[in-house]
Amino acid sequence: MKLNRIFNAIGFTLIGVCFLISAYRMFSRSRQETHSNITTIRFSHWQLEAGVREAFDLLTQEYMKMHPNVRVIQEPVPEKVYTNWLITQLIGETAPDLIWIGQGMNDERLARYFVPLTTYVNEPNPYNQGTDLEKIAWRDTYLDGMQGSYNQNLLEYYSASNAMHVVRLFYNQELLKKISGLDAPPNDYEAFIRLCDQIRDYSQKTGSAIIPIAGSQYNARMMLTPLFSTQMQKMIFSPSAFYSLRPEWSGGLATDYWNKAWTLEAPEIRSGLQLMHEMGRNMQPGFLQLQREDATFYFVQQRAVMIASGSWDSSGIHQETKGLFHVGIAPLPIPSSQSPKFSKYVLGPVSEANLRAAGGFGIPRCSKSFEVALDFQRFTTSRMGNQIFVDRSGWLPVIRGVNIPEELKPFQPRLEGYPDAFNFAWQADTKRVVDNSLDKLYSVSGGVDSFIEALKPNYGRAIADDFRSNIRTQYRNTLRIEVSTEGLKQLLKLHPEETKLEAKAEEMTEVLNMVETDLLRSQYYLREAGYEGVK
Amino acid sequence: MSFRNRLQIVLILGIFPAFALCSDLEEAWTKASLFLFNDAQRVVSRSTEEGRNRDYAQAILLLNTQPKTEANIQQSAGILRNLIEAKKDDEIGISSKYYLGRIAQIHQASPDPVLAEKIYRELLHDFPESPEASQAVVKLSLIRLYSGLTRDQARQRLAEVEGFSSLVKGNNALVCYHLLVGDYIIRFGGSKEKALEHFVIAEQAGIRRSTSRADTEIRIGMLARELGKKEIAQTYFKKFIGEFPRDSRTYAVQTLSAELQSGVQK
Repeated sequence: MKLNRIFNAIGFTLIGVCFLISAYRMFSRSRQETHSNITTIRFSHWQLEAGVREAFDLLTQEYMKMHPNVRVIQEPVPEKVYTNWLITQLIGETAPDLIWIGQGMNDERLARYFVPLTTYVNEPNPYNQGTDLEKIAWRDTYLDGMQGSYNQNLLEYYSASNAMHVVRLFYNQELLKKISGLDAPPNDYEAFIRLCDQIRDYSQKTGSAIIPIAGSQYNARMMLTPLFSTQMQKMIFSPSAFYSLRPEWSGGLATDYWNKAWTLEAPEIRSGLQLMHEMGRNMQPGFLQLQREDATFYFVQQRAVMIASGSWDSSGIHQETKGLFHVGIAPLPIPSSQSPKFSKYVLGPVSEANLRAAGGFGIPRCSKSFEVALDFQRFTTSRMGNQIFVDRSGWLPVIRGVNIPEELKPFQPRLEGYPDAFNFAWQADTKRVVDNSLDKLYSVSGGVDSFIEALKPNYGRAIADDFRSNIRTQYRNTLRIEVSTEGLKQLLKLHPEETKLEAKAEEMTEVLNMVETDLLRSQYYLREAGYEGVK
Repeated sequence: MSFRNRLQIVLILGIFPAFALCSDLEEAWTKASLFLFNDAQRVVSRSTEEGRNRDYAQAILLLNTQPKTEANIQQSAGILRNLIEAKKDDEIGISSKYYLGRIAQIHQASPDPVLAEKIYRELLHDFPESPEASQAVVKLSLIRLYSGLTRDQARQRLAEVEGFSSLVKGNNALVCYHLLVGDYIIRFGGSKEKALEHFVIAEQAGIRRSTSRADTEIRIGMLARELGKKEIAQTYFKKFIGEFPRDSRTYAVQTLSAELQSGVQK
């Protein structure tokens, strides 16, 4: 009884202490923020990879040196709670002045809670003064013309990003050399598989339990999906692409599957699956059940020679392996057009030309310091700002003329190559049934046939389910875009001299008709295939 | 009007002087254009402005006020009917008629394409020169091509829909109409020559959306290449390459263009 009381007292005391600390922190923060001469802005993101926070800190310090009356505070938020945190902050109007756009974001939230930056991105960035970019519109200073920040439904720019990313193969230079005598893994698929065999032999002979590639649910997909895609490249010329060199799921591939114009038994698909199967054998058993951290652990502990990941992980991997071994970076292996087994369906390397700047900071409408937030954003995405960011974060630059440090050169996007043509998993439902069957592809007793047999009974229906969910989205979008378009037309009547408004109203009308056509066409296909319609 | 509302208008109109006169309706339409429909509806509801413009705004905004209810849609239809009854041949009257068609076609719980078609045809008959009539042609084409038919029946209607082309006025409607029909032909069958013509007309009318423009330029190039119209193909391939250097299809298009140039077509 007495012990109970003591425990209760400790519990209540702890709660009390926590409350007091929180209250103090809140009070001190609001006191700092309301200091008469100082404007405080806060920015939040979930980029907790090594080097990124430090890069933002450098930018912050640099900016505060230039603007002594401004205080900039970085508030990183863990990825797992980001969406919930974001929604709460936006609804409560307590959001920071700059928020990384991405997770938990949709058109409605963007439109409701964020300021469109279109007007500003069409003006030069003042922080580029004295450079060849000084008279160029902010958006044109971006390598991708800021396409990554443009919302195709809302027809507005809502963010300005600091980086773009590609996927590459990271390898342990010493281990690779020791086992194979090679300085880098070969890019040619067959040679790469021979290297993996060599690693496995070495492991068996020495009892060192080293595997060729560290896999996990997260990392394996990055390596296996592009391999599969290489076998689908010629589909850009298929009827499903409707002369656009881009095969479409809705209307094209989906209905063709129902009409049996293609099956899971198609030789290209079997070939793609065979590639995935062969490559999957070089990862640790049960990799589909493992998480991102598990795979990184394998690699850092030198139990795997290679790991596939995005350039966003580069700094983290380098930091964790510092003093242990040197990390090299190579492109993902793909079958060449001379490959004896897999060349039949290959056109060439996969293009990374459409790489877009990822995410970026948006400014919520509730920001009390819009001008300062915008100014900070301009600074961080100026040539100088982006150089500071790139040098410290190890992420790829987004601004034209920023020097790419030597260690980032292997991440430079490949501009020559063919587009990705087709992936098994269209949307949530097809992805689910494909994922549920993948163990059959990689298990010791399984393989391509087992996978196809497991997938076949559910695949057609999953496509229909994805179709339905697509239709629901198209329907909602049609209604929203229609009323919004009318809003623009009415504003144009009030301001007929506004050419930008006219352009936007016309583009919106095009979007409306396009989305509505997609909707009606999808409903038509679904009906034709005998699946229950959805409004 | 609050500072934030003025800021929204500054943003939507670029550098337009938003501190000039700005009515409740302007604020409401600004919010609607930014997808803030409930906020826009609230502005109209509390507005003291009166007249046809206000009623029209209320009717349109009711179409997407959340939660979307059939009662709202019917209330909107009622307001639009009243507006037409009071005056059917001014801008508001014509737009109201168009939106009655849209309600029948897509907004009401059980769409009635037959009624929508009837309304669009009346609009075309009574006000053929209005922008709404041209948009009505696009919507009418959608109904004719996609509502509840087999492919064979729909293909038969294609000729009828192609006959609407002379009714379409204005570049924006031309783009929408010709993209719709060209796209239909390459998906459901029809003359590829005709599809090419539709895409070329749409492209020349000026497609605003960059992704549609990219697709259309490639489509023209690919169709022309297949039909042996090498000059057209080359023109549009080069146009695409110049305009979209960072598209993942650019390298493929460059290869096709080089093949055409050398006369070796794979």
